[in-house]
Amino acid sequence: MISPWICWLYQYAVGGALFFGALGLAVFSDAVRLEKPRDRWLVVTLLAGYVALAVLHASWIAAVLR
Amino acid sequence: MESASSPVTFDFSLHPLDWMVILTYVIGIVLVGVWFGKFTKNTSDFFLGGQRFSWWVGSIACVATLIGSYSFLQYSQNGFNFGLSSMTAYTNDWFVLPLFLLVWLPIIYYNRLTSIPEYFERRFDRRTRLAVLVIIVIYLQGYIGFNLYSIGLALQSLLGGPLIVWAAVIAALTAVVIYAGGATSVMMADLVQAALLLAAGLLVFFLGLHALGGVAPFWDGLTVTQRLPFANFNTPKEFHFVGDFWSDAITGTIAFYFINQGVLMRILSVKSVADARKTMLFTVVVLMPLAAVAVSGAGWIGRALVSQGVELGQDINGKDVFVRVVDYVCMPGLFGFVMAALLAALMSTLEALINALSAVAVNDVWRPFLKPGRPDAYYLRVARYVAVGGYVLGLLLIPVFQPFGSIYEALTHFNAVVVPPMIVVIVLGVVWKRFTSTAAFWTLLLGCAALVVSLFVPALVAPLAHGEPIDVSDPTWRHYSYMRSLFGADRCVRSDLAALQLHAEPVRTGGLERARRVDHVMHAAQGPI
Repeated sequence: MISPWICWLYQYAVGGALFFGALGLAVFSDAVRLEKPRDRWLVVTLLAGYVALAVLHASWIAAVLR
Repeated sequence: MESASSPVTFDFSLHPLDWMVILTYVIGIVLVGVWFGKFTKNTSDFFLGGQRFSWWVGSIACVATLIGSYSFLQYSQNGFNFGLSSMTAYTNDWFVLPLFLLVWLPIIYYNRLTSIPEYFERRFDRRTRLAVLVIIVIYLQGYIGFNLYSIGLALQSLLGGPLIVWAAVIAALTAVVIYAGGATSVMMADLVQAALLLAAGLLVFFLGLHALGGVAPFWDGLTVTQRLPFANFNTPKEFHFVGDFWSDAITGTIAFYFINQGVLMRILSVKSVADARKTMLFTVVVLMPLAAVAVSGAGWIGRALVSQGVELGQDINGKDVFVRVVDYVCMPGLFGFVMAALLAALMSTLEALINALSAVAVNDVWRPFLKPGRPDAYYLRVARYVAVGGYVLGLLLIPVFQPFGSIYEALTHFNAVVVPPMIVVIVLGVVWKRFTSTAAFWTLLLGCAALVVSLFVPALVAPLAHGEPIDVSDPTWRHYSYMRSLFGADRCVRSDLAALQLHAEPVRTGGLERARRVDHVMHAAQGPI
């Protein structure tokens, strides 16, 4: 069996490339304007969700393999 | 693998109390639909519920649409065989959210799109719209056939009798809800159904924990591999991480949120873009993880029960584990309640698909091409006739799907062949201004052709298969069920680049620019929020 950390890395690297690519495109093309509180809240929520998911999955794997 | 021609039937009969609960549910849900049908006055009400719903109504309706007819059976089976990683399909949507919330949502909402093909004409041209129309009608009608087939199979397994008769009975009941009131009725029926199916799934899980003796025995009943959040990287061929990532987290999620007309209509039925964004965030953050436990929980409980030495008598592949576990942990009456929830999952997805088919038929065929300029009442009548026609055609398609090994296998193949070209065109269309109409059209055409060829020449998929194993005893068209979606996306991008090099044309406004423009106009119009 391949280490579950490979799956974690793959998901957050390849998925992260798509996630941050789309976020960057939206910000740099002005589809989202960070000076607007509503847009800023949305971007911060998305980033926080990405980090929370990565931490949750990492903790889960670490707890199981402990 | 489950054989459609010899479905499993269970050796128990329903208690009269269970029958009472199921019949009360079915009659109740039809009455709710008919009652709310009186609020449907025009096609906007029929398709979008008049865009008057709160974000939480849209969110709950989304969950009812996303939890398909096969969900309880399929994910319980995966949970039984592969453990907690069966949740991933419901918890890996986050990577697509920036593109959806920040770019796609403003475009579809402010442009008042009523169907996906309509977007393709505005962004590209009429030729591309027609190509997409053909693909979407195949996608929707195929999905309707699949849902009717899986409904028939589930009820046949539970109650006996001919599959086609059960499918026809459910088709007739949901047709009453759709015919009476369209989106308004479906949304209100979805509220009841989503609450019911979440409650029932979670109830089974917690009753199972109680039967096992708590959380610790449950955890001990799973192997280390089954406790992990991800499946093994690329084996076995039935379920593995990398296949699930590409076929579900990326292409599946984009397909559901961007081109699934049923989900689109749930999102467009809320009051504003801000509400639509709340709808999606609440769905992804709160409801989908709950739904993941609801649909998979019985499988995990089943695995832990078997580890404790309990004889469930389930099929060796675990395909009937959901019903077995429900039968084991629920008393009479509760069993009927859970079966009613299963029925709710079956019916709500079907209703959303039929409603979506009506929207595409009226807004993309009748209104622009066949009978333009007619009164709204005429189109409302057509929408209702198309809904009924969709059911009839869906029933006729059932024999086409029966030879497949299992519902899930058929669905995966179907999605992998139909969905990637539309996904690539829609994503490139919104992020790339230089993506031209000619490139879009040829991407759709060549992408579909490459995917069909790959069914007969699976070696084409191999370089992108990440080592996904194949079973040489399977016919070639069954190879690479998961990784074909990545192959399709890759071939579409290549077709697009080739078409752009061969045929240059003036660029039209890209999606990002349009999203920026419409969002800023609406910000200005609405003032600070």
